[in-house]
Amino acid sequence: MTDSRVTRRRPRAGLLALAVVPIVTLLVLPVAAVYLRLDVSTVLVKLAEPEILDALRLSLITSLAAMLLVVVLGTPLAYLLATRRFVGRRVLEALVDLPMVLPPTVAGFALLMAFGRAGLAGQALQLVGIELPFTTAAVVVAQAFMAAPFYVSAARAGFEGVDVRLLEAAAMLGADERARFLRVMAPLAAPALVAGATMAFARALGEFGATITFAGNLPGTTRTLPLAVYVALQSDLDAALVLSALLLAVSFVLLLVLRGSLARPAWMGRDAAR
Amino acid sequence: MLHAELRFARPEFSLDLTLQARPGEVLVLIGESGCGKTTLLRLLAGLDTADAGIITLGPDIWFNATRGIDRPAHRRACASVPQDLALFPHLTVQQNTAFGLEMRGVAVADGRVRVRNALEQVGLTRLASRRPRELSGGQRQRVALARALVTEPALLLLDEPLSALDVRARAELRAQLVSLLAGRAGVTVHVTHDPGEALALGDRIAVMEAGRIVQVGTRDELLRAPRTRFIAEFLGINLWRGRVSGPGADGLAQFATAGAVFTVLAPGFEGDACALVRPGHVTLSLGPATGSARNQVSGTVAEITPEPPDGALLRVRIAADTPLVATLTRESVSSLGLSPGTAVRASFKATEITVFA
Repeated sequence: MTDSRVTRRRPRAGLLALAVVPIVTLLVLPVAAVYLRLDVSTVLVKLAEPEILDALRLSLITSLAAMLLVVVLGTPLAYLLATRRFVGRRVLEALVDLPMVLPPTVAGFALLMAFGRAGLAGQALQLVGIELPFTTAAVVVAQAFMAAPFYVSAARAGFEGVDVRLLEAAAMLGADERARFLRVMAPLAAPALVAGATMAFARALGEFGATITFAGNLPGTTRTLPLAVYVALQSDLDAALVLSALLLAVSFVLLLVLRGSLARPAWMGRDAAR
Repeated sequence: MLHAELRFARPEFSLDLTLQARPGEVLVLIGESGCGKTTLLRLLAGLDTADAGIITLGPDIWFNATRGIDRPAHRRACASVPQDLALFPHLTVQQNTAFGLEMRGVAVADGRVRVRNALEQVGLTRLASRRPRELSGGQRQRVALARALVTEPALLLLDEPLSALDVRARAELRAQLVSLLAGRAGVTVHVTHDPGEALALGDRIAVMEAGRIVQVGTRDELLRAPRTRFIAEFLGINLWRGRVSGPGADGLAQFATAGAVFTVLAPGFEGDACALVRPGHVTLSLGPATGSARNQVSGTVAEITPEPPDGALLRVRIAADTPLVATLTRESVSSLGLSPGTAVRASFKATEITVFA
């Protein structure tokens, strides 16, 4: 088995500067700006405030729930798109990607029109006693709506990347489609699935526009961390700083952990995923 | 009994053949690449669907185009060693081997014993917990074999299982394959483009050309009466009967035949055997042979005939205690000044002899 992938070498100074300078200015500088303005005493004071902890807890719970929802609903869809040819496939693909290009406020408004009290499905839901808008569940729905394309496209690429000869070998060894998926396709696509789920989680964590439009901005039930930052900006700059620092830290650590441990299975070898 | 009648047409390629094999038999399909060998295997396995025809194995109907029967691959009692092996990279040798048994619902305890036996048979017991990427080419090939054999398939398909290996590993695994296949109850269909492999492994040999089977027969039947030029060409070989003895630590053995003893790669057994050298691998010289060739035969040129298709090569038949033929270019024949009666030395390397029981 020859490996035709790019091998990683030490970069030259020119490439290093070209690649790293923009990143530092655009990403590291703002982050540093937030952390440099922080001082320990304000952090301690602010962290003791229930509003901030509530927002953090709510954000983590809803983002996790949104990620799970996206994985559960998105995996079969990604599998379908990766393995089947059918009429309307292109349309379905475009639909899946739509939230990526949609302004989040428009997405939130659309959700409201669908599931709101006077909405298309909202009235039906109301009859069975479910009212979605301005609840924590609505936050999850809004986040899942915005995060789904990230997971579905990553998972689909992962499934498409599995060598069809391995699936054929599994079939010849007696594996039906279910077994081929569970024992061959899913394990081999796992790095892509994990990466996609991570992206979906990150997108859900940062979600603002759709949430505030569809779920509102109610402390404790729908005011997630990004919404809390927005509110704090208008009254309490220290709180905004602490909240931003918190969001940054949580996102960064999660990305680091997920990418580091789960996305690099042992069978790929140490060189393959480095 | 495997019975297959298959028709499969694509714009660039068509296949139309009938195939039969008895349980316990190894049927070798030989043909040049592109003749449809791999397509045939895919049709038998159920990975592709023929346009017309039937496939039955004993009482089971796997495929019947007119009755609309097409049993999916996972429900055919068929295992395969594909050319690229297709080992599962995320599973260990042990798990790869156990895969088919798990899928077929074999009880875990029973399966464990069978996997252990299979790995022992192919000599991989020590490597059971390795993953494919940590194995050599020959070891991977053995895993693929064990993975297929352990399910005791009614039909075993081997697609050029030795082609990816170097000469030494090939000789070793070929001998192992003979003994592994000898004990099988099911039908084995083995595809190759190597005449040596075909003659060494096949109970019967079917010759394929352009999607059709042009001749089927035993080794002797094919050697006696080749029906097409292609068959004659690939069988236009040096074949001797004799005995193998004395495999040494250097991996070499002796093959004794009438009038000569040749040094060969140890084939993994001793006793009665056949040895085969392709005429293109024989070098002729006037003086004592030079180079690394260990095996030499002295004789006189008996006959020189143009080799089909265009006569660019000449076939030189040499009368000796061990008669043989060599193919040479016209230029070499004239520069050596060969003509009937010339005294010559024929030589060939140990690695160019195929030995089989």
